Amino acid sequence: MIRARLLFIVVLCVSSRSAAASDLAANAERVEPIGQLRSSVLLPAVRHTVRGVISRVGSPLFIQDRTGGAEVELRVPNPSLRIGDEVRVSGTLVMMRYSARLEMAQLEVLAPGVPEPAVSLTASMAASGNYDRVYVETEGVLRATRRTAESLWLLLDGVREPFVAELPLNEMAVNASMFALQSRLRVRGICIMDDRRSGEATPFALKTVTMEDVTVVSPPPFWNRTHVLELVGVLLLAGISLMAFYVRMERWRFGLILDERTRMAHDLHDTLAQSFTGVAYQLQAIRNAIRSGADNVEKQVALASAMVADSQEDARRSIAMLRPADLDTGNVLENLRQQGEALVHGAEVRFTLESSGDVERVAPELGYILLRIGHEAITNALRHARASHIAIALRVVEDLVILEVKDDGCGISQGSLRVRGFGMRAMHARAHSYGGTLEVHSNPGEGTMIRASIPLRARRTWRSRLFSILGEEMMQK
Amino acid sequence: MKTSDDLLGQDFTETIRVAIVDDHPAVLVGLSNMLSTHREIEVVATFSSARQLSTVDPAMAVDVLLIDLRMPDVGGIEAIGLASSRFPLARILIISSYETDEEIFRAIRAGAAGYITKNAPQEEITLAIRRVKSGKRYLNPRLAKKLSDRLERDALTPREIEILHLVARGLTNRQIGAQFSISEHTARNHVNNIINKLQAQDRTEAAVLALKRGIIQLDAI
Repeated sequence: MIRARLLFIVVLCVSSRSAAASDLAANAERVEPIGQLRSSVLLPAVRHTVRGVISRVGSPLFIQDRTGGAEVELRVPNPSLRIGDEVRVSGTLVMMRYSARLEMAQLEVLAPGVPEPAVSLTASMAASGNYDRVYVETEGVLRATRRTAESLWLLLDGVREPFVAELPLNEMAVNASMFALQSRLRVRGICIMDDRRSGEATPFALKTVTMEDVTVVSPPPFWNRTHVLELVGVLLLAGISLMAFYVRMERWRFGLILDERTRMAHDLHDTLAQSFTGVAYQLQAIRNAIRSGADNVEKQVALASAMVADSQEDARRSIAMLRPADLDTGNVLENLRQQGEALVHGAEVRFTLESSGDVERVAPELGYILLRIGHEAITNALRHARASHIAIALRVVEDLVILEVKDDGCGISQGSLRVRGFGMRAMHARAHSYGGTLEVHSNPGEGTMIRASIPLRARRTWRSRLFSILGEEMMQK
Repeated sequence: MKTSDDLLGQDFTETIRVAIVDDHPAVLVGLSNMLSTHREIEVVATFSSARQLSTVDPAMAVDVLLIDLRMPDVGGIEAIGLASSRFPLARILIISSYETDEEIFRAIRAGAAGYITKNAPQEEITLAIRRVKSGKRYLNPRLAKKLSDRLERDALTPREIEILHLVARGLTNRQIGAQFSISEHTARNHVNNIINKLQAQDRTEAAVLALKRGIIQLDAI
């Protein structure tokens, strides 16, 4: 009886022990998805077993499967482990905020594997917490670097989330200058949600292993502070030079206007003022004649009135020079002759006209330029050279139109040619404005020949265009 | 010949033979008519250019030659030179629309006996003619003052006058240097000398003063 009870107890004991043992064994054998460790209802003291792939060796060891990642603290460190090895791990479960940790763990390599590629995430996805302790890859713009005793920290800006990347200093000769600020980096590493060692308020840190874990996606963009400052400087300089150019242009324009005024003043002085002087003398002569009772008073008065009529002609001529007639530019030669005769008004000046080639090809715009040049040349011939014969020739040769105004006047000395007056300058300017050239051939006593050679289709540089815009605007006034 | 009814109430035993050189026909005709109304003056010839002086009969006697200073082909000093070589016995009286001190100075230096302006009253014109005929000089007090002002100043060298033309055209020292194949530095020295001699504040004032005094003339610029 006693024996039977003892046996029962033993059996009972044995059965209870074996039941406990089988219970433990069963528990250790049950492999859980890593992602579910945190939601495990089992007592923390109970050992848990997971299967996963090593994503990072060292202490702690990181493993992950498709559901998440976990930290593992091995009871006995195993230096032969490789990243990518498929392992079964069982250990004591320690809950963390976003994932779990297995301590006092035992590990068994199931198969040597290939490293799993990093999960590619945006920074905000990585910040969600689902990827804590998982090997991930994300991008950000480098804003700052910081160095602590064992790590180099890169502070990066993801699309909406800032994050840090930790580069261990011991393994690599890294320094902050290897990464240009504002460059875009792609960082691979274990995503650690609750790492505050960087001292930065970021939702996660990426723990990298080697330099290869950080790659430069794109260098710092052009629009950084230095470049913007430089650009502002360049723009400012350009603005200033443009202003200077404008001022110069204005001065040049102003100079042209002054030249024109001077020319007008001279013109008036040479003609009107002199005529008035002459008339004043003549009136004085009449007065003297009347006082002395001379009998030729009537003749003297007739002379005075003829002089006044002549002065009127001078005035008309001066005005004609100020305001060249509105011209039909179609027939350049005929127009020039008419203008010339209007300027001559009765004086003994002969005009010879000659044209050859297809003068119809001269565009109205070019015709206008030719007219202005011709007008100036004729005016010079009449006013300064006192010519009695003016030959005007218009020729179209290939793609060039040539206007020649030749006179038999007193000519211009080379010296005064060099010191060109306004009229000469204006002629040159007009010819150049259409991409043409102007030649002046003259010697004292031998007359003057002015030849403008201008392409039928304008060959204009930006300078000549500017010149013509400004010049014509002024000259038309 | 004696005349009792001389307008100006003066008696002359001799007629003064006057020739006039002026490029403007109205001035030439008017002036010659006006002078002809004076009994003691005889206008023996009129020329529209100093060049014509060389074509006249050398036997022609001229006492006073009235010359306009600014004429398009030959003017100023050159005309005075031409006239005095052609008529060595004639006295030269300048009649000009301008009265700049430089022109007065140059004309007198070139041998003109007097200088009057075209707007002078006829009494002054005839007085001047008589004065220079009698071997004296004629400058009215205003022109005499200008001449003495001019004599007090340092004369500009020919080079400085050349440079002054370019200054008046608004050229920079560098451009002036390029024109004369001298360094910008030399050009600047010249310009500084010009400014000092003209007692101007800056180059613009120097150019304006030079124009005013007739050292340079606008149509040559």
